[in-house]
Amino acid sequence: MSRLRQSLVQHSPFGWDSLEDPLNDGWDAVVRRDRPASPDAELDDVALLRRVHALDATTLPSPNFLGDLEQRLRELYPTPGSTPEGVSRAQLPRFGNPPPPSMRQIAPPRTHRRIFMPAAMAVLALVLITSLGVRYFALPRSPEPPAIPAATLVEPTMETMVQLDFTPSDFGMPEASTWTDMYFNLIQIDPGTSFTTDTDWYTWIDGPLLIQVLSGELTIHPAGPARFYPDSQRDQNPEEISPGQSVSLGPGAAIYYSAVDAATGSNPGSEPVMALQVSIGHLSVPGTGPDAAPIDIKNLDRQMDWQMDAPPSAGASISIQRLRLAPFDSFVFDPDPESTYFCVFDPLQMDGVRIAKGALDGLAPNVDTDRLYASTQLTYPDPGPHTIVNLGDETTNFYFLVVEALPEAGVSGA
Amino acid sequence: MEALLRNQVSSATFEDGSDNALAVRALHDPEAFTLLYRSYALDVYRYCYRRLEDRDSAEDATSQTFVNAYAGLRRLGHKPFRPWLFAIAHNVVVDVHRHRRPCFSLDEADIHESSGPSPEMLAIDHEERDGMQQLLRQLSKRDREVVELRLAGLTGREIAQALGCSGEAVRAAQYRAMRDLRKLLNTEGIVER
Repeated sequence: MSRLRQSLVQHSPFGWDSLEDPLNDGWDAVVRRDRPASPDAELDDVALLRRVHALDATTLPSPNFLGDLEQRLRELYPTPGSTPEGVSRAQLPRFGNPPPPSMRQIAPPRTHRRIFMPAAMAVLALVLITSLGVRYFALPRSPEPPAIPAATLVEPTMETMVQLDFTPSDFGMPEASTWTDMYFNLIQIDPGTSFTTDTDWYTWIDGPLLIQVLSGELTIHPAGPARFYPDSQRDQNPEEISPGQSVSLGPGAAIYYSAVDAATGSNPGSEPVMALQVSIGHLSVPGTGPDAAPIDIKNLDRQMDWQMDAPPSAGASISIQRLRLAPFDSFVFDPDPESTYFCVFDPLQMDGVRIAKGALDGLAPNVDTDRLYASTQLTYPDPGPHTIVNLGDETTNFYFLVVEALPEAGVSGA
Repeated sequence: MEALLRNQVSSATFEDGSDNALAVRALHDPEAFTLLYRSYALDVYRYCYRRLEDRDSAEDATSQTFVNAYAGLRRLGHKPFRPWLFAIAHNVVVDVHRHRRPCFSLDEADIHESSGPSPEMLAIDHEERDGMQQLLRQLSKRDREVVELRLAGLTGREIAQALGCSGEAVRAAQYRAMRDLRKLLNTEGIVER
């Protein structure tokens, strides 16, 4: 056993390393172009893997591509003496990037003038303090100081948009404990377009499929039984929908059916429909229906997991929650590391939204923040609380899919 | 080209040549980032090509991966660099897939069915000429993911870190992939290069 492996095994919480096996060892050796570290490695396997790797003949990139990209990456760095403002926005990456520390760390070139800086700074400070003092005492007194936006932060909370209690008897779906795959999509359906879920893109999941409309009007025609939440934010009592019956979903409405039962839908209105779509279950390839990607549905954001921690129960609670941040709102985001959840949002709404480590009351200039540009940052955050602040001009929405175990029927929750 | 890149890297001199030490330096030193780039550019490109099966898309995804890596260097922390970089590449490729999904309306479905070879069929024709793609296409989605990262040069542990899954999951995927690869290579007559 190599020293690295010994070290890993020792640091494994149970003293056993799940990757300590001959095949993995042999494959590691192939990718490192080395001999297997373990005498247990199967030489036949190693030979086969070498054959497989020898098959790999990828088309090389364009002749100038690697060199040009290297040059572009170098240009992302500020030139010595420049300021962050001096960096052209055209040089910044497509997803946007926060100025790296280097931009602040690179100091402008020093000259002999700095010798006089302390004296100049002292004079300036004296003038500034004097003028501020004069202005302060000249101001008329008011009983209450004016409110500063940052000091009057409201406290946004997660609001449940829809919650359904999944039970295995629902439309003949397998138990939640069998779930392996979870998809959460923010989608857009343009006016006048139709779609179907009768493709294996949807039907290879054998669990529930949930659609909730955020804006616009969507007509859904499920082939099988479905459950319809006309106004899920005010009333969580669903209506049972018979197979073949059409329903119209306005903002806030949701529908839920088995993903293996196909449905068609359309946007009969003149505005795009924005909606959330959830699929959860066990992946069985191939699904029913044609092998085709979603039709006429634009994915604005998506999270997926194909090795989810299935709820240890037959049933499950599935909810979609929304966090809404108005300009200058902040929210301390501290999810339970054991919880099963996804976050999606419209990336185009995120201008001005920043995230900082720790639970903060407000932002100060010296607080280190990052731009929030991908929902992955909230789905897989670093451990510990984070503070999200909306410094933009528009209200932003974050959508969370939360899956929790449902206590077995007859089992007391107390 | 690959040999040239590797030589450039190996001939470079720096005090601590580990990837993570370079990544720390790369926060303010373009030379350090360039060394990392030269070490992994081709591997990342190949990974993207295998997933996207198109040179232009693979080049775009490679560019975006390194731009995202540059933007995220501060968040690297103590995470090992290579799996972290390939996790970024993986996410970029997923984004590309998400945005390239074909769209057509139900009303047009009949037209599509009655027309000539579909883009998918043309793509399959192209793949048939590539032994590796031929193999990968026959693996399950999960196993293929692991094999693609293996082909990119990652170890089992690095794959678990890149995909954010357990070592046990990688181990199981490897066993399934190995079983299927053995069967395919023995029975399907894959053309070796």
